[in-house]
Amino acid sequence: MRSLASVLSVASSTGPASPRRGAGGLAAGVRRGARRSVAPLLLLLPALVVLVGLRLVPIVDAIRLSFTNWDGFGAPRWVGLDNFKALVHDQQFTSSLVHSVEILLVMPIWILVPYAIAWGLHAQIPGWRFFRLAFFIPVVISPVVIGIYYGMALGPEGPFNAVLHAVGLGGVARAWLNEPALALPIVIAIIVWSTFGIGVLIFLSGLASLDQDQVEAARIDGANGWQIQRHVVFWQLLPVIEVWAIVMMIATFTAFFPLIFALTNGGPGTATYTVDFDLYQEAFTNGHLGYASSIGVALMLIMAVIGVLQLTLLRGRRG
Amino acid sequence: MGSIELHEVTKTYAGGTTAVDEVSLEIADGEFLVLVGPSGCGKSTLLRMIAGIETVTDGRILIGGDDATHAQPRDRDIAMVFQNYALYPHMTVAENLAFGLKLHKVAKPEIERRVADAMRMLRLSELEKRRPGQLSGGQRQRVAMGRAMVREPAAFLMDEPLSNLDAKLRVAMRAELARLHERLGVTTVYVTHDQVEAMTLGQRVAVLKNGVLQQVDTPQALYHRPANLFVAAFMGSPTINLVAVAVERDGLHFGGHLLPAPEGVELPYAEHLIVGIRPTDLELAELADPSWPRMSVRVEVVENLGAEMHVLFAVDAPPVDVESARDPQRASPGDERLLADEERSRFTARVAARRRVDVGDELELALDTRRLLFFDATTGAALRPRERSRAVVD
Amino acid sequence: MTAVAERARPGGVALSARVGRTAKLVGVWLIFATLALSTLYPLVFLALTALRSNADYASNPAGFPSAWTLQQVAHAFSQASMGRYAVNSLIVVSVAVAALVVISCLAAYALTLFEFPLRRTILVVVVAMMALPPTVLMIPIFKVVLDLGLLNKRIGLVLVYTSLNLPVSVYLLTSYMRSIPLELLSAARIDGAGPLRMLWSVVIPLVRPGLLTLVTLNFLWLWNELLFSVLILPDQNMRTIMVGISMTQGEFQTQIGVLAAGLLLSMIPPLLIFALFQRDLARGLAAGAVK
Repeated sequence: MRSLASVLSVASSTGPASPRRGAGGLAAGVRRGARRSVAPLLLLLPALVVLVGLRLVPIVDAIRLSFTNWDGFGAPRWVGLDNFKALVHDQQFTSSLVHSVEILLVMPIWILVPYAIAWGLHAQIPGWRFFRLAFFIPVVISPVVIGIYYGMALGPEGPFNAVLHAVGLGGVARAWLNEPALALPIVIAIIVWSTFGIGVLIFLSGLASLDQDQVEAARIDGANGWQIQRHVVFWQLLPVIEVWAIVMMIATFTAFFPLIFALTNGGPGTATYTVDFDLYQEAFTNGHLGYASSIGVALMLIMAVIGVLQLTLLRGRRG
Repeated sequence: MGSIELHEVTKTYAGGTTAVDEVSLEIADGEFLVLVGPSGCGKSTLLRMIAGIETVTDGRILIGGDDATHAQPRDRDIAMVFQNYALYPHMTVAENLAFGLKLHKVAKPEIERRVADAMRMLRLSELEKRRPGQLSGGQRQRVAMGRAMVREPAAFLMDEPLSNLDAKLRVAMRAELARLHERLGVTTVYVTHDQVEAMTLGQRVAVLKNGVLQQVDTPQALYHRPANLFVAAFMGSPTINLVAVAVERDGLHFGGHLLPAPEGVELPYAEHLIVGIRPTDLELAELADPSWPRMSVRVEVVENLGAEMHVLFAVDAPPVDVESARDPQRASPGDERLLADEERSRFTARVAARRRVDVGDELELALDTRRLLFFDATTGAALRPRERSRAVVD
Repeated sequence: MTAVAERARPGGVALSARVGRTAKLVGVWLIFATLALSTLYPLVFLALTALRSNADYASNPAGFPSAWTLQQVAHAFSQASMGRYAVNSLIVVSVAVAALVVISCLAAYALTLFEFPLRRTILVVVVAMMALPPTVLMIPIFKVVLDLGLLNKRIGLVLVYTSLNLPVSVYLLTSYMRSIPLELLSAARIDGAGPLRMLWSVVIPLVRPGLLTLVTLNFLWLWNELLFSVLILPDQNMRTIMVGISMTQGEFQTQIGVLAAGLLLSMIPPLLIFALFQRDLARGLAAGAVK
């Protein structure tokens, strides 16, 4: 198949033509053709500079720093595997890891909620356009704002408790985010609340491109609504579900720092620490940038695992 | 000067496929040459190489006498009309026409003049401010033509410009194209897969197959003196009837029929040849010249065309496979048959519809053996058997 | 739920079935309404809280203000420097988005419509970078900015912001550019367009919807960004608005109205952009996921 690019570029590798005429005309065109092959690299240059400098080089650095005890000032000093040895015994890190995994465990709900909502919107309930908009608002609002808002709303003197008092459940009212046992579940709920809008949108567009013929065929074959869901719709949406799950998995370890920072700052104690929050804390609050880099390496490994998972899923389907 | 010369032009792709294989061709200034062949034969690739939007692996291309083999498209004095028109969707008709002229640094008043002239000639003046999205297929096609015309190039290159039009419009546009060429007299290289289009439009037609030039000649010559089996089978509608015959002293034997060899023609004896019979060279016996040999056939299908009819009959000889002359993409020979059949050829005769012919009838057909075409059974090359008398055909 | 999707067949359906369906519909609707309430309430709550005195809030946090006042809003600007933070954000984000559009446009153009050695490798690497979240690299990126002497300088954050979203932006644009019909580009070449002319006159007009999606998505992401803004612009005067309000949270704990006003201010640009471009956003997001 002809490549898109080959149509456009006259690669100078085919060799110069012998210019019959002196100036202008075809000869000039040939020379311009030779210069042309530099053009794409020039266009690419700014992007490459930015990416190499701020993505590729840092990857190497991230690994390198994990073997040092850098504190942000002066030069990093080599300490070999000390950081990693300490990491294994670090309770704060372990509990952060556990918390992140606990967030992951909510995945079934994380998938089901937008799925069900998208289904309802797809059916075009009256006001569905309004609902679609409303459900997306938490996505548009900054996690910082969400965090502070819920801090206010769930605060001891906040509206939530006020309502509880008003309906006579005053006994239940408490400083919600200060309860070690409740803090993480509440944070998880807020996380789902702030992200389900994207899921709704993605599943909705997946439903919109559903192969109606298959649904009709199933109906003629005698399937009822639930069976159609299981055998037709679910399979067609499976790729979408997988994409959503992977995205949320990656987000679990890397995207919720701002929310936690603004909402609980990891508290009470370390009850709402996640891996990326721990990274930030160790590096920039405690000043152990070298040690924190080892957490970063651990994070990279987790990302690699998820990446492999994604690839096997993809290959599994192609095969 | 708008002559175009191709000297052993070759195009091979990285994977090893050869799209164009040492094609040499000379197109005179002002000539209308058609490149025709089945899909994948390399005709579009060749055209694009002339345009400069496809690189040349080997060989040379001269436009107007200058070596343009590696020149940029903008430096070749050519304009192109694309199959899908390739109009700039975000520009108006006028802007589409003017764009190339602006880039070639033509003076503004000159641009306006040429654009206005082209729009008038192509009846586009009222559509000046519209965008391609608001035009019909035929209108878009005219804009594409106009864009090429305003450049006033040494040569027009057209890549199947009529294929996206409906049948009726296509026929009308063919005539318009011919008139345009008459009027402007610009060298035109025209690519199509439709052999009818090739025959009607081309002053000369170049037939390509798998990147190799089979024959380049006037439409008449291609029809009456095809250089090989492929050209014979490709040109002409309905397709030429082909069958392998055994040549013996008493004549040509095939499928239970015996035809006397044409007069005054020397054929090698006792060998197998392939004979081509144009459907139009068969006629109802009662209407034909009495000197023509007869053959009795059993009618299988009758297609009534009004003044004429197609009579299809079986010949008890294996069908000649010209490697799917019309469409190499076809999965396997025999795909065109819906029902399983024994290995028999099916012949078509195009005869006058003077009387009623029914399926199952035993029919007597007459055949003008002087018009028989002979081909080598192994190479497919046309045989010009030594003739003792003057050729009848022209 | 499919039952809801079917159009009611005229007659022939038992009344009980129709009632059951309606009940389901009402149930679903109620759930949706509750959810929508929860997503809209923050806006309402913050607006109300910003427009009342702290005492008024303390007395009736969940209810309506007994007296309206703009004092808190004024304080947000005067004492809490919300205005300055907002301007900081505006500057940094606008410049970053502009840089992103230009750089990703050039890069996507080079990567889809040209042929050169390593093209495919670079494309793969760029796409792969989308999978590596910058969070993992917060320390080394901080170090790079530090080493370049760009700490506490707006340009430093602009650079980081550009690098954050460049892979995704390039990826988005390449998919748009790939759908440009080949013939159009050939025609432009024959018309005489050089590479830059082609980009300006043909490619960019054709990918305009993609560019729009790019601008809106990037603006949203970067405006709401916290981590790197906190790392690279720690200085009080340089803070972006997100950093501003999170720091303000501690300083103005009791002045809840001021905080609310700040929050509200920070929400205006994203909500505005969202309101204006929600359809493009939806399309862009969906196209990205359902490939």
